[in-house]
Amino acid sequence: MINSVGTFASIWLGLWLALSVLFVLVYPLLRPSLLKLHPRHGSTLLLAYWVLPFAASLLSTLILFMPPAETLLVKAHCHVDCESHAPLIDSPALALAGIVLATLVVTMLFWRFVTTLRRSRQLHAQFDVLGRRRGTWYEMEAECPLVFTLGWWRPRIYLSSGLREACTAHLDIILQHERAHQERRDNLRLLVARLCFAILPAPVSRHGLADLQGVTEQACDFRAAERCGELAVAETLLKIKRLVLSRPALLPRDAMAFAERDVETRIKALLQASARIRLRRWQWLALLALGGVFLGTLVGPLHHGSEWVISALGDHARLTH
Amino acid sequence: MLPNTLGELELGVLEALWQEPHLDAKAICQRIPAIRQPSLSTVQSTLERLHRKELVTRSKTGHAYSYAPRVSRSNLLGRLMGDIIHLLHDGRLETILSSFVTVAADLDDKSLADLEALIARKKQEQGRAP
Repeated sequence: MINSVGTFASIWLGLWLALSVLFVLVYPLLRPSLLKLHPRHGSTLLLAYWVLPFAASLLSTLILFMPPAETLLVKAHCHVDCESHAPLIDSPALALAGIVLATLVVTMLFWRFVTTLRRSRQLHAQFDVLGRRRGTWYEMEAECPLVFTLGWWRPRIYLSSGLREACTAHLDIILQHERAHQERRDNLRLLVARLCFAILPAPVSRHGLADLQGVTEQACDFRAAERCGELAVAETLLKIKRLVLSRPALLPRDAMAFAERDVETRIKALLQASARIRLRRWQWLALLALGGVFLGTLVGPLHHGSEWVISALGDHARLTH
Repeated sequence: MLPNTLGELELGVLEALWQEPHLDAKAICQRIPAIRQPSLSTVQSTLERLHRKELVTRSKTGHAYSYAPRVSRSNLLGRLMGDIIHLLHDGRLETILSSFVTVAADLDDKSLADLEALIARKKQEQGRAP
């Protein structure tokens, strides 16, 4: 039992790590094409791209340990006998190491999730007491110009009175943008992407995740533009950026943007909205099929690769069924 | 973590004091909604914490302390928003909340003017289009 669980954990972790590194390396080649897409489609594809290493590693490892599916996807071959089998680490120490490592990673992910959830709940509790409900959004009596959507499953929009007073004419556009975040559950999407890439150190995945965040903002700008027009949204972005920058006291001393030149990119994207490519239904289906094929073809090499690694690692590892 | 984060009970106590300042622990306890009504000792320790955080002042009246808020509701909100701006800025809140515009000083006056000109040009083009 320990050997089976240990083998499963080691293969899943190894594959997750390998695919994550591969996806980070391939990303610069795909990036220009992804950023040419309509942001609504681009953000969905980017999310799928960053979730794929985690999902594919978990699914293919599960398939590897399910005899009926494994028989279909792995070419028949014999070790001691010719029965259907899954790779198995023979050394209890190696298997145990795999279990410990997987437990550590899962605990780290869970801890990260719980601390973020706690922080989110604390903020909600405070804003519920301190804010005032105004229909679909909450007003916070504060001078600083700030608007944000908080929460994962049922996000809420919070707007400072400072921003409301300074931008009465643009309020509808700002709220349209935030409502798009609410409907798309963007905070949840970002959290999922971040957790799925947690196996790599943050600086390695930062660039890709920042792109996801940028395209997500653009998707909400485009949603607001569907009702109010691209130019109106671009003007609002510029006005609010000017307003924020006119209050230097708000800026942290160690100014370093996590979404550098964010507003500039978003305004330019809005002004060239017609150039963005929209994927058609058949293209989505083709991409889905490609994902399925990728998953299917992964199982065979994974089986043989795992057997090869196991025999190389544990000199005396024997492959049993 | 957010430096100005307060717990639900701490906020409940402050809310009671904002509505009616200069209350003792017993009176505060009675003003907290019945659903989450805490014991007197819990309220006393919450007041102690708020006093340590310099959010309430206290003065001795007879045997008990009388408490009053040291910050207004909008002042506390301002501090909290400040925390959020800072955490948003370094990306530590990005999976919890999405903000319309970041506070990053990533654009200078010239870049802003260029963007303004770009928008104006686009407007003109659209105006000319049949």
